[in-house]
Amino acid sequence: MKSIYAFLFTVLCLNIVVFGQTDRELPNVMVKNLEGENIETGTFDNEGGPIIISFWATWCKPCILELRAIAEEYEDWQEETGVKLIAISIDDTRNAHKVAPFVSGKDWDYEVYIDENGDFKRALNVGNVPHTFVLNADKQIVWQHNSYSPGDEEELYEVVRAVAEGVEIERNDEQE
Amino acid sequence: MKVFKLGSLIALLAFVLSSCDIIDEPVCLDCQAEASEMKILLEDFTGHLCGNCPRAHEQLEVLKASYGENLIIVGIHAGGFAKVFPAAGYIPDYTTSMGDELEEYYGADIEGLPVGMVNRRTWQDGKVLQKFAGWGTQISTILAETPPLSIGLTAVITDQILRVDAQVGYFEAGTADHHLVIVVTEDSIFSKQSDYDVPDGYIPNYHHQHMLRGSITPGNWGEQLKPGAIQAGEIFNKEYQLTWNSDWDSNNCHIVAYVIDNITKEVLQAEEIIING
Amino acid sequence: MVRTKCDIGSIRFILYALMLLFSQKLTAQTKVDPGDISGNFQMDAQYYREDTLIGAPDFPENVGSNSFLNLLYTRNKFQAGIRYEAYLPVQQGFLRTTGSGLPYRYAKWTDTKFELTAGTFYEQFGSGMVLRSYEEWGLGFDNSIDGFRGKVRPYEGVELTGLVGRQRNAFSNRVENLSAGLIRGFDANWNINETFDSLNIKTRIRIGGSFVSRYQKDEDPIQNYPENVAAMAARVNLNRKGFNLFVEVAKKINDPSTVNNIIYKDGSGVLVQGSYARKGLGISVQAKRIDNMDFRSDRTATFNNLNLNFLPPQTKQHTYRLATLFPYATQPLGEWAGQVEVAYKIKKGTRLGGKYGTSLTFNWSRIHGLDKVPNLNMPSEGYDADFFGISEKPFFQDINLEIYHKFSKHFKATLSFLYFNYDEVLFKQLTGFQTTEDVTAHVQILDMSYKVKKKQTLRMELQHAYTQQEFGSWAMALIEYSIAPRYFIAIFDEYNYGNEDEDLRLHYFSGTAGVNYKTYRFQLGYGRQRAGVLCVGGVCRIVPASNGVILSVVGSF
Repeated sequence: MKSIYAFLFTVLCLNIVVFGQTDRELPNVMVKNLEGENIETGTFDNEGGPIIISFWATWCKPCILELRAIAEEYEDWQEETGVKLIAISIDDTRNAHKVAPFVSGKDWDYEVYIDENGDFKRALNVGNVPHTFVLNADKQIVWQHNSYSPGDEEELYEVVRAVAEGVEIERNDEQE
Repeated sequence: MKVFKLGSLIALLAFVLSSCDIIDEPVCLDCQAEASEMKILLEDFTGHLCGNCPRAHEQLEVLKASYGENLIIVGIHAGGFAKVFPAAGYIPDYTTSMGDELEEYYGADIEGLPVGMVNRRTWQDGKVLQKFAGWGTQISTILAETPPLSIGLTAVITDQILRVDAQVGYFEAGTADHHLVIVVTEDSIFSKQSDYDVPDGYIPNYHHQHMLRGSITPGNWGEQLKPGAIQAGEIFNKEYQLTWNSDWDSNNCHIVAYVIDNITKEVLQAEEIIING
Repeated sequence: MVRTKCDIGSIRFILYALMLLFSQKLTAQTKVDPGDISGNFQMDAQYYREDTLIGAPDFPENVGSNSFLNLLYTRNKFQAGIRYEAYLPVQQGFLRTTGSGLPYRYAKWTDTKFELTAGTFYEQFGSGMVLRSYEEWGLGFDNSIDGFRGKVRPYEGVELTGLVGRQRNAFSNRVENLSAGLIRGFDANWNINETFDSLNIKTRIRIGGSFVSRYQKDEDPIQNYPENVAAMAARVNLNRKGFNLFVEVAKKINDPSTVNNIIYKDGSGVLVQGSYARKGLGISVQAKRIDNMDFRSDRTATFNNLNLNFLPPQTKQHTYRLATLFPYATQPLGEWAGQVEVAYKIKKGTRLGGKYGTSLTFNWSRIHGLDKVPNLNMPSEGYDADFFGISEKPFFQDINLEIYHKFSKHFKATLSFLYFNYDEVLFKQLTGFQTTEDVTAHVQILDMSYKVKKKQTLRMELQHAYTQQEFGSWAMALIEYSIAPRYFIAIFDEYNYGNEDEDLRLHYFSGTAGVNYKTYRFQLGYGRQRAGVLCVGGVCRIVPASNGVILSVVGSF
């Protein structure tokens, strides 16, 4: 019974909170790049082009499927829209040291960072991976999606193209 | 501002670095347990398949050496780790219906063995089942209390019949929920015991001690002493008879008696005796 | 013995907080930044049916549910968060007890050179060998610290962290419900290149050190427990071109506890990680030696309770179902572990590469126990173990190869071969299964994906595990159909065909279907689930056999 109250609560929260909110800016948190340097997420930049931020882990199969599927189209995407994909790994010490060889071994061209303490993940309310965000020219979050099914990357690309063209994106976490 | 920040950091560092104790004398050899009339019942859930349990038994020996008569140990073989496994040589079945009920009631298997209860009390973490590193502290806490009652026991075997006489004398008032429980434990039982710390993973002729064999009082939670409130100064005499199980060697057996509050199940006082005759 | 905290008070608290924040929303039109609220939630519920055949126990309440709601408020440099958790009652196999409450709440102030957190927080020092507090919802694991933490960046490239607090134990933050031990920690990190920027050193060098101390009263009159137990670590990380080398050494001063059987021996840990990465090739090599490094905020805690540090297994984290039949957990009392992983992509256009290239990943991990000799001169020290001494037989070994190839725009496949082997005594200790010999297993997995048409994909997995120990061999098949981005349905069956006991050669059949709507996900599953180990992020929990319906709702906003 009590768990039903908790759930109703959640729905109440969502309805109150979600409307009227302007596009959120990316939170500024410390993450590490593959050389071990501390980088502030506020410095992520693509010179006005769209940015994809994708949370993943070396043990997360759907994440690897998603990043692989995008890798196969990445060159074309970059040519058409100038998009940059920033992959944030939530791997902990068990696997963090394998992230660099893993990414190289798969021949991915993304900018990769490691969020070892989970601060960036918590700041963006990421629960499960994969969780993907799209940022517009002003580095505001305009779209986000959780989980991956083969073919999802096409919808992702439609959003990226719209952002590149400056079209206003309807926030997909609003109630219709 | 910079100096202040640096200064406070150094102070914090110094404070933190000083917090390291190095012990030279692990066991206090001169410390004597204070003389006390309290006798504490320690029930240890164990099993011959439990490879971590010999560590708890080693700790029990250290505690028994320190507390002597004030500590009464009952080893309860119950749950998954007490199952027989003939294919690997774990043949004897040491489980008892009383042990099974206690294991299920307290959830020892779920908590994980080895685990035990000190007078079946609930401790600071809200649990009755406690790991062995905490037993010493818990025993000494109870030792400091004054016992509410005392138990006198005699046990004799004549012609295969065991007769136990128990005399329970109250110093303080008691309730109708006070039950007297009497059980039989046996030492010097030798059989295979799993032990993860030895290369082969087991000890072939392990000395099982204080093994719970059965209860003399009816049921698993004993017998009510009085169907009404008990006055301070009241004395109860109870007599029990049991046909002795010839599988148990009476020379190695103890009779353990304890009084519990049947609502909280906590043990108020305990007593132990060997069998004469 | 179930104690549910009366959560009327907590519900009221959330309502007030929300009303306050809601009223802020109405004034969003003014120039003053009202701040931003976001959050996420998840609810997992399971309906249990008794199934004696697979050993699924009866669950008297019928339904177990785990849920949480996370709220985050950000405004410029200030941040506050709160999480409500409810396990009413907790699902089977979880590490938490039944209950509900607000175990996580904090306020944080972040500036460029300074950051202060009050309340509940997570932190990691170095690789986590002396301190790591984190959460893993899938396991019900959360060892957060409740107290104060300050971070300072006095110079370029230098970061200092200090913290003090107690660890979370249940659902409330009252002092008596937190850990018995008080934790004090200090960590320093120095990025030498950042400080001496002008020197333009080609190699990137970072050094760091940590010191953590636990204070717990000693009330035992006979045993002299140290009240302040300290652990410290030093580390260095070198990086140049594609090469990276990380070394950390840790030491723990006398910490007699239940887990190490009350010995006064110092603990030590050494970790060396090297890797090389360049386009198309990645190699990583790792070696680790752990000796008596279990460190908790309460000397009597065991299992997954109140861990202060993190000692992950040096093995590959597997996700394929039958591969997870053979897990490993670090032996904090002593082990020597080595792991090598090579990832290589055969270029496209070559014969083996085909049109798109072929990816290969090879991984080998091998773990030995230490060579322990009982210390007869000082029994309270327990044992002596030579630094390079190892046990004759390995505790565990895992050798595996994974091959991925995309055949055409429509079809891709991954083929894996795995080999596992365990020492008999270690296997009994890990799983409780009374095996009479060493355990070995061979696993083969084929994972295929076929794109039926745009946005619709059919995926199929065939797995086989051959073993003559434990429960015998298994076979598994899974079919999943997804219509991106919204729907998916999957059915799968695990068949224990090799079980010695013919009556136990059972099929574990279940089906799941789900809907993804924007940032919400709704999933419903039904069927039989075998007992096994669920490993997420290095912590494993044993999931009992179950039969019934599973519902999961996740969302973020």
